[in-house]
Amino acid sequence: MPNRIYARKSLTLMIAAALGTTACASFAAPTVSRLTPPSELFASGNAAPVIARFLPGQRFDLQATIRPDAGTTITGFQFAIDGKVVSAAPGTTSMVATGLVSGLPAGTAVVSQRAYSSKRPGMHTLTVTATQSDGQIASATGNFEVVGIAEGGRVAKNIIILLGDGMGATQRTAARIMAKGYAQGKAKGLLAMDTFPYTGMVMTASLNSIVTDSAPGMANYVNGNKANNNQEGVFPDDTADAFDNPRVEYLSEYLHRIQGKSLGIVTTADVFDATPAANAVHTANRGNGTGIVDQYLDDRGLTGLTVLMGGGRKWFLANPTAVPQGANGSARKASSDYVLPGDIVAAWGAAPGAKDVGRDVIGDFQAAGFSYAADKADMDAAGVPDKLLGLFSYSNMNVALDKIGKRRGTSTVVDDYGFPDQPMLDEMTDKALQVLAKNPKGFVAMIEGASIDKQAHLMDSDRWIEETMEFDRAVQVAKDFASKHPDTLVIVTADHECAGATIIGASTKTNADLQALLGNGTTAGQRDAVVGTYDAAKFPNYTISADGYPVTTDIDHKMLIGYGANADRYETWVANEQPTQDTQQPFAGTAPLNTYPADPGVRNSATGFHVTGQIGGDQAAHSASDIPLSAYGRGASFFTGVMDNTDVFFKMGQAAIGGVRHDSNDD
Amino acid sequence: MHAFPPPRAKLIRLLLIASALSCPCLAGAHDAGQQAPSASTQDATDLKFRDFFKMPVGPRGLQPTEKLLGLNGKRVRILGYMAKQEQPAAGTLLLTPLPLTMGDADEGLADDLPATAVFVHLESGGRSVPYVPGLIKLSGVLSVGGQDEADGRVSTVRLTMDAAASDAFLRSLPQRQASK
Repeated sequence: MPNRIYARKSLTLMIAAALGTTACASFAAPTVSRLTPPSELFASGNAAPVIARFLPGQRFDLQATIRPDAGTTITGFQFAIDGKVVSAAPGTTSMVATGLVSGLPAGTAVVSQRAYSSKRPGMHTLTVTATQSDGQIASATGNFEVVGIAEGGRVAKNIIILLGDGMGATQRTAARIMAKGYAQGKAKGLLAMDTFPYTGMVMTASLNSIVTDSAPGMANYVNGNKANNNQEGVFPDDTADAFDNPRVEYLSEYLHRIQGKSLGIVTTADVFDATPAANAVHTANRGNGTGIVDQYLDDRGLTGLTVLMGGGRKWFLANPTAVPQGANGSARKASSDYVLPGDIVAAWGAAPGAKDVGRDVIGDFQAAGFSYAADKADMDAAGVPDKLLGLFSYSNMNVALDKIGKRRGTSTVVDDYGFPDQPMLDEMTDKALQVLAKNPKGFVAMIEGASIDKQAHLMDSDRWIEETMEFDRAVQVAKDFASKHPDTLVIVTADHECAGATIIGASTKTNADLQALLGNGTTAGQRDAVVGTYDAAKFPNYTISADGYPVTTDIDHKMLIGYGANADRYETWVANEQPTQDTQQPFAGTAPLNTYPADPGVRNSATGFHVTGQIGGDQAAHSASDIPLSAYGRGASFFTGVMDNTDVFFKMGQAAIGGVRHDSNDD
Repeated sequence: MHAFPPPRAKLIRLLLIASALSCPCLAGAHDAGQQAPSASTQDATDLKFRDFFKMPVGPRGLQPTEKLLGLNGKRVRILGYMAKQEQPAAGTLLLTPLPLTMGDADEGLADDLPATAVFVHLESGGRSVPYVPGLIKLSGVLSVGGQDEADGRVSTVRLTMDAAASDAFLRSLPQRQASK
């Protein structure tokens, strides 16, 4: 008896092998190479950690990449949640086999079901099943979580997120030392952000690295999900197009949709930059400026965009193709513009987009009811409009040091840039909150101090410290607003730390000594004789002007900053001054470079001692350090302990939807 | 500080080279192999950054001046700084009215480049142009109007340097360190 069974089984195996239809690994079968939302269950088979989480009803796309066997195609697919097939409204699914990234087998298909959501809290399994043209099936399972909301508390009607780009603990401490000073070990004053009653620590890793960048650095906070570096509001996919990636609904979109809230975005950077964009725009390429600014406007119905202020006017100018009319400075290009596939348009209600470099985006914003401010005077004169667009510079706005220098009459840098009347971040924040407060349903506002990071990349200590001071002045404005509107949550945080900055001590030399040492170029002369560590650092004492900024950062015994994620540089310890006179003088033969006072040719050339970097290149990089987060107002008590940046999204969601109970700091 | 300063001797050499491009009396004073600048260099018009557009910039886009538009296609001489870039496109440098460093890796086009930046195109055999700090003076043919550049930007003002001028300029520059 056993022999016959054995023989029958062997025959079955031989027949199956001949047909190539066994499940043995050495035989072909279609495979699922990507399942979205991402999960460890799919990637490694482990159910934990949970990667993708959503608020109840938060929309997101389901997607999978299916690789068929050679000579076959994928003919159909379906997604199932918890074993039940998900129905899809017409036009909200797609199967795409062209326009994929290179290196995939022929016939690979990216299958999508757009704008799914679940209201049921708890863990869920996600299964994709795809059929190959020869009848074989590919299937894979992942998981995601829906995070429930506890109802019955007092809600935060307004949420203000103040993000200091690149602002880690050092950046905050250095700003406090410069702005407030210390006496016998006690800070003589506190930064506004220091006065917030609740503090937590934030883990900032992105979907694909311990070291994030500003795109996931912002997006993780405001949609509860990890993203790849350079990507905002989307998961990665296998298509070449950057705007068709699987979307995750932003806090702004979610709260606009279910509560009617408005969105305000204020930054000192070009407004297309990753931090502002990762509150409203969905793209896998943070560099797609044309499409990003278009999508701000086109999808204001999804996000509730009401205020957008910062730099970056170059994207908003029509770029006609005829020369020489195209000399208005427009940066618009078709290759960075967007057109969405039909399934996203149908499922999300998103604008389809168009390749339209000739578009007058400022005009379109105005036609949509936005008042337009080109400078601070315009912003001040605008009163409190219903909607406000402010574009105060061509690219990034100038840094605080240069804006304040203009107001003091000591610098012409902003004149050389052509934008002499740029507002400070606190002035922009004040106006934005007034406009946003007109909505009785409340708002989400994101205020960014962008050049803390940009100047830290350049290892320009004096500039990033002043940027942090400017940012803290905006924090004060937000705190004052929340004091008057107690149903407001304010959080101060950062996307990541930049440059591994640290306060190493203070100069044992006076400013005059440091100036005299310019050109010395030796570690003995400019480092060993200068850097005061431990008790030699004492308490650097900066004089603050009536405008709130230091009279100068080149004080005697100034604070000294070192960098751990640094590139090679020459260190002089003195502030990097810009020329005080423009470069318009005709160059006269062999005359020495003395067209500026005090030999700034040498000063600008930074003849300091050589510091070998930890990384290659010329710029410092981001670090993976945890970030301090400070919270004030309704729901602030949620923000303690060590948390992931994605946890912040769920805390904000709880505050806005279910509210706060037993919060002793609440009103 | 973050620049790569050449020693003082190199700065003076730069002055001489730069002046040699505009003053034939000093041609060859330092570099024996250098050709005297062509006579066409002498026909170049000095052009200042502040003369490109109506300044300050109005509420919308840039407005080129009649002087800028009148010099379109003609030889000009511009004094400025080479913007320090991590990833310069081959054969291109950015000439700016102020010294600045661009944070390519994390910034991309959210940059500190002024609207008056001149995209200078040289013949460099496909290599990138080594950075040099300090004032430089470049001559070439001016071109005005929107044009796509290799770095993803759209330039408004360009300077095209001919082979002789490109060669003279590039041979005067210190080479970038290979370790980067």
